[in-house]
Amino acid sequence: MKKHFTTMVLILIPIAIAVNVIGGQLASILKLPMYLDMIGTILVAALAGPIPAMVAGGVTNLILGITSPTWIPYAIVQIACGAVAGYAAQKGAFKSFKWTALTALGVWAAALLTAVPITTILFGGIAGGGGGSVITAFFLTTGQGLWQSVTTSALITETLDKFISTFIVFFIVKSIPVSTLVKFPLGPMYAEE
Amino acid sequence: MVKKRFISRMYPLTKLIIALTLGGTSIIVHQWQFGYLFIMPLMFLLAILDGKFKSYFKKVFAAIVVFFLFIFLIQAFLVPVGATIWQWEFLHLTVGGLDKALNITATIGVFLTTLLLVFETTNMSDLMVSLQKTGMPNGAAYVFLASIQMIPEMNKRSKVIMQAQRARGIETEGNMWVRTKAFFPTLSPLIISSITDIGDKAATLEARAFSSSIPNTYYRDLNASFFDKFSPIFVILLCTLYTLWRYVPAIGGLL
Repeated sequence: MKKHFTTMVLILIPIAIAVNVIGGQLASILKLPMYLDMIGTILVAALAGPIPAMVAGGVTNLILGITSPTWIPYAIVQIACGAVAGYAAQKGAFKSFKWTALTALGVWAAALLTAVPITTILFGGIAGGGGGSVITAFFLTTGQGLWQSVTTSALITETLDKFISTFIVFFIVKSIPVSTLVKFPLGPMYAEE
Repeated sequence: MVKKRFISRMYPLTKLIIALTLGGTSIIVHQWQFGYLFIMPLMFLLAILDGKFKSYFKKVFAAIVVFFLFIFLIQAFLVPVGATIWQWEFLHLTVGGLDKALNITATIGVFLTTLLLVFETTNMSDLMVSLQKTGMPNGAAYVFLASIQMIPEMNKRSKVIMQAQRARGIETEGNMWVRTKAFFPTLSPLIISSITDIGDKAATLEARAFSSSIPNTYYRDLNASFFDKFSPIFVILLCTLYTLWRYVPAIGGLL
């Protein structure tokens, strides 16, 4: 455990959690049709690997749950995406543009595979806020089934979201000063070039 | 200082265990009456007794209204199950759909009302101390408490950055593409400046023996009373009995 959670990582995680929350708020202030609430999680994945990323993701939703407990089940989505991104980062995926794109694809798949069942089974088709639910309701009125409607609406809201989040992290890792970068477990990997 | 009432005085972990037990029971028994007729009114009553009703009700109301409306719209009207009771245009209210909507909302309602009451009446630091006493590592408590502090702090910073970027001409209103473009110059300075600060924070924490392995002392101290230790067992027992009462006759019917 000590190996994964150095003091640097323990301080990074709260910042990442705040980034997740603020990313989500900014997205809704700017009225973007996306969540963008996973940038911090993916950032931890890139700098510290899968286990800290899963912690950052899970705790994000627990903290959101203090004011609206309906976020808590979606911690699983964050944990799954953190695991995928962290594993890819360990293999050096955030070093090249091509592999970052493939990581984004993996994160996207992990998000869909976990979010759709939670929304459909636990919440009867309603995902957290309003946006996605309106789309789901629209597809239902056109006569599609519940699973199909939720999946289609998730495809619309998740796809761009996950690609943008992953690529923001790719560019941010590039802009962090090397002196700070090398203090993180996966940091030296990016400093080599 | 206002004297703490009954619920606020309870041991944090006790409250959390009871809340999760009630939530778990509502999933297992799958009866909307349990949530709507028993737990939700009970939680409101407890909030009134604790003198926290106004802020508690506001939070519950904000979390529930839109959410429940959508669930009823989708489950009761748009996914037809069984006989139709009432219809208008493309909306068909069906027996099975109404039942399903009631069940889903009742379960969510139980979790929402119990957890919100716990968080409304508990100081987060106290909750962390009580968790640490059961063996949770200090690092975990730090992550949780630091996040709660960090969010408003970084929120303020993001607003400053947004204003600064606006001042140099970045548009935050307009079509979707313009707004998406405004997202990056706001968020990335925030992230990068926070990350470069981490080194200093680490030095500060280490100067205060953050990663020392010696047993900790607590600034806050909490002790569980006999009632605090006994009441979760009592609630778990009641919930088990209720679950058995609900399901065992059915098992008997199968035999």
